[in-house]
Amino acid sequence: MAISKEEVLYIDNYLKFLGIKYIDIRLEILDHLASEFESTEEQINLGDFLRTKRSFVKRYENQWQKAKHWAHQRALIKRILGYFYEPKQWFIPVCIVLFIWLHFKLFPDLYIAISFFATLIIPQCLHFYIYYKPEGIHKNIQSAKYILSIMALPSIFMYLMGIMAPILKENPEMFYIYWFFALVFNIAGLQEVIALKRKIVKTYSKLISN
Amino acid sequence: MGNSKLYKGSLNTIILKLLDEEGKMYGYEITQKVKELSKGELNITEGALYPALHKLEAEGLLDVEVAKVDNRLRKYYKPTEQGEKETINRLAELEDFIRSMQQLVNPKWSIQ
Repeated sequence: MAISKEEVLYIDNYLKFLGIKYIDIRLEILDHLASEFESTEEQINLGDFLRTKRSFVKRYENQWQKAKHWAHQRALIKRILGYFYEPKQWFIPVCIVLFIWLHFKLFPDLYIAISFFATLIIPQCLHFYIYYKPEGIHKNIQSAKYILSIMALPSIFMYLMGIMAPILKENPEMFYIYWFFALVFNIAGLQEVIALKRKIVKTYSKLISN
Repeated sequence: MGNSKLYKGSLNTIILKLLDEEGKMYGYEITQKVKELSKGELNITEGALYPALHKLEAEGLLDVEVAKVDNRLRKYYKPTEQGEKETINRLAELEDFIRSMQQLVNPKWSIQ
C-alpha cells in the first residue's frame, strides 16, 4: 500500500532532523525508505523503522561527495583531450592559436600582458558568477555543490604565475605555450561548468520549482 | 548470501546489466530485482547500492531522471550510450573471470 502524504512529510522531516539539507539527496533517500516501508510485511511503526535506517542515511551524503569530486576532474581532462583528437573540436585549439598569434604579431608587450591576465582571470570570475548568482541553483542541490571543483585544474595556471613568471620572461616561446594551455584548460572548464549546470537544472527542475 | 565479498567486485556489472535490460529503474527496485533473480541468494544492501550507483553516474555510465510517483518524487537511473557499450565490455570481462575461476576450482566443469 502506498504511504500517505503525511508519512512522506514525516520521513522528509526526519531526514532534515538528521542534517540532510540537500533536496536531491533527500529525494533519493526518502523514496528508498518509503518503498522499503511500503513493502514491509510486518506491522511496524514508521518512526521505529526510520531509526533502523539512521546509519545508512548518515553515510549517504559523504560517499556521494567523494564520487563527484574526482568525476569532474576526469570529465575535464576528457574534454581537453577531445580538443585534440576529435576533428569537430579542432576549431577550439585553432582559434586559441590564432588568438595568441595575433597578439604576438600585432600588439605591444603591455597589451599582451593585460590580455594574458584577463584570459586567466575572466573565466574564473565567470564561473564564480554562474555558481554564486542570487538565483543560483547550488543552495539546495547537492549535485550542484561540486560544480566549483571543476575549475580546480584551470586555476592552477593562475596560482603558478608567481613561480613561472621568471621562466616565462626569459623564454617567450614558453610564455606562449603556457598561455595556450591556460586558455585550453579555462575554456574546457567553463564548457564543463555550463554543460553540468544545464544537466542539473534539467534533472532537478521539479525539485527546484517546488 | 554467505560471502558478500565474492560478489562485491561484480556489483557494478550486475547493476549495469539490469538497467540495460529494464531501461530504467530506481534504487529500491534494483535491490528487489536482484533478490528475485537470485532467488534470495544475493541481497544488495542500500549501503552498497547507492555508492555504486553514484560512482557509475559520476563516470558518465548512468543518467538520472526525476518523476512524480504517488505522493513523492522518484529518481530513476538509466544507462547512457557510453554505459550501454561499457555493459557489454564488463559482461564479457565477468564471463571470462567466471570461466577462469571455474577452471581453477573445478577444471572439469564448464559454463558453455
